[in-house]
Amino acid sequence: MRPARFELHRPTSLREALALKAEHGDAAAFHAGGTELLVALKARVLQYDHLIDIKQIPELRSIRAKDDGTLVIGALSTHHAIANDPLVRKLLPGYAELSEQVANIRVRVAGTIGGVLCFAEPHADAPTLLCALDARLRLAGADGERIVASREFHLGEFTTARRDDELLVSIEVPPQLSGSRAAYRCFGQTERPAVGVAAVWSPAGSQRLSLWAGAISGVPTRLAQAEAAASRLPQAVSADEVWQRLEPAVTADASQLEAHDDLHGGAEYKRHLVTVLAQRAIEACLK
Amino acid sequence: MSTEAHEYPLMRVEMTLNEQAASVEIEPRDLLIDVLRDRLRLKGTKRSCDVQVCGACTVLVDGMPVSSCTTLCADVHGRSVTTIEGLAAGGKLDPVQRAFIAHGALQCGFCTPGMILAVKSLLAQHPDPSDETIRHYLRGNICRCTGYVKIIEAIQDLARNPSRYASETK
Amino acid sequence: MNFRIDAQLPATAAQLWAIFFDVQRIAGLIPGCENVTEVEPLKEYSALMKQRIGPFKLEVPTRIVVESSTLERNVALRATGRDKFTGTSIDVQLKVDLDSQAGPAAKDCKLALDAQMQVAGRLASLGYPVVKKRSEELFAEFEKRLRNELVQFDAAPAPQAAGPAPSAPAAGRATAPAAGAAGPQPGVKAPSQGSRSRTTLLWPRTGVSVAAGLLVALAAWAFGQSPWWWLVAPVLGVAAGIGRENA
Repeated sequence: MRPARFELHRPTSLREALALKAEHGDAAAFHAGGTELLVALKARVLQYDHLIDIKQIPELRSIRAKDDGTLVIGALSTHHAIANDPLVRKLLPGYAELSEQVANIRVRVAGTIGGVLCFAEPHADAPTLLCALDARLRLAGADGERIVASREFHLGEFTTARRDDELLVSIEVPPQLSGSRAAYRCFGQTERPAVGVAAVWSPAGSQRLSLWAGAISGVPTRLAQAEAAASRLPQAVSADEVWQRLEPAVTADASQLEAHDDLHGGAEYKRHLVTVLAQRAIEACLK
Repeated sequence: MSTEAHEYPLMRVEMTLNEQAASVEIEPRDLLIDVLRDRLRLKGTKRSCDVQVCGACTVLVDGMPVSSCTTLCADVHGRSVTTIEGLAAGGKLDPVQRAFIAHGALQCGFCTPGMILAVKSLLAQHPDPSDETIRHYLRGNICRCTGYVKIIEAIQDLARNPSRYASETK
Repeated sequence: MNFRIDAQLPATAAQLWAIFFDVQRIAGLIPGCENVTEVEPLKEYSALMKQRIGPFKLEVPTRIVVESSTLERNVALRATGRDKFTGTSIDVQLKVDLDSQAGPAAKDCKLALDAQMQVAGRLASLGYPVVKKRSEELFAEFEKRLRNELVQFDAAPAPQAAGPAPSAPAAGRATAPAAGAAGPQPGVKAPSQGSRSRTTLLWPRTGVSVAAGLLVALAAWAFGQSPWWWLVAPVLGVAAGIGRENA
């Protein structure tokens, strides 16, 4: 069915959008691609008197690199745009690859990275990799902007550190060290992942492996024992040996993950998937 | 929560629909599929799952597939929209349609309008797609009848032999 | 969804009954359950169940009915309600069984609590995994609060914050950690924790006992026994109704 009636606003600047939200408060929601919000409005499990369409605010859309190599992705960037952007493909091919396999072509064309992060449905792909990459999120509010680490942004299902009157402006990924590789692997019966694992392998870095599991729990979760085991690996270790040595730690991490039996699978099955996907993600980094 | 219509202003949406200018006055909450089917009487676009997963409602907006069941009509203001009716221009079938017929790539036909539009977009993005590319691009268009084999064969044949399905000059 | 609590407690059935038959007290232990009011004493109650998950809000006006009860043995409650806005309906059937071990006066009673819960409607269809997870969290919190209530019986040590049960079997049973067994063994009298107790008339036990006493008196009179039964029997009934109630 149709959503309940609302008024649609089309601000052309960030300031205007924030002012509209301040004016209408809880009765207003920001609207971008609508791939999640509209489903909820149509089902009438959410209702707003005002929708603030932010798609015509220019500062939310660009993808660019800063001088120091930081990749700045506008919150309105669609998965399709990210997957095909030359900068992303050059600096973060693992993230371009992730964006290309989100859901289906229609969701990739309409859905934005900002929407995925702010709606905070746990069965999503990008948040897991962005946490592994230690991305920073820039939020704009009435009293200015602030940066929140992606690792601190996700607080629970449908719950983030964004205050209701703030707008996510951009996602900033720190420059990757030379030789770093990032990969994300997921599995699910539906279009949403039951479990996803993101790996960032940085042979030149002090932390060799960043390994995060997503979709299985309410928020992306660090696989800390695996990361610690990776830091203890000898400097010269063959690709084959890496997984052999990390597997017990990954399995130990997986066994401690919060998981529930549900339509995406049983809790034990999901924990098993974490180990399988971790192997695939790590081996993709080492190839 | 008031339901007084006057508190929620109507909007005028102007778009290019099947290469012609179209203008409709709508409520902001109106979904694109309903405006196309009920207001503009273009019944080729089908509603099936209504939660944007099946692809039956696919239309092209600026050449790319969207789920019209989960798109506000207001969001296509100033853009170009293509429905299945826009393909058989002047009564001549589109090459994709010809290839589908030649290969028997449809049975009940319910998924077909959405599928064909997705294929149009696929071939515009990838003129010579691999099997893997075809399957990946069409992942969100579900067909319950054909088992997809004929659909993929039709696409591969069309991509490799475009002249076979080129529109007749008459 | 199915939830269970199984425990063996160093308390009499009567003491546990006082808690479980007190619908307002039990409902008050459920997180999000507000405004528990009596509609018909010992028969029907109303409450408002409020939950929030991110932007999704649920407010379910709930009707709680005591479907059946056997004094100090079992009680079955049914709670039903519907949130008009999201079309979410809730149906919970709660059964509590008290099984005295070694006689009713012995401070040794098995408690079996079984909850069958159904959540239906648009929100549940769209987001069943989250609904299920939240239900499990609510029940785990309810169990924690209940065990705090039962601490007065020197029952299990303060419950671990186990959170959602890991590797819960497919039926979603949140079985109690083996706290009943880990706690004081039956027959071992744990030292009092110093909770104050007062002597009072326990209801409905007193009423039942007095009624029984009057019946005995009637029978005695009918059989030509001394009319003094009319005085003695009800007094004995009142005496039977006196018990300790822990503060």
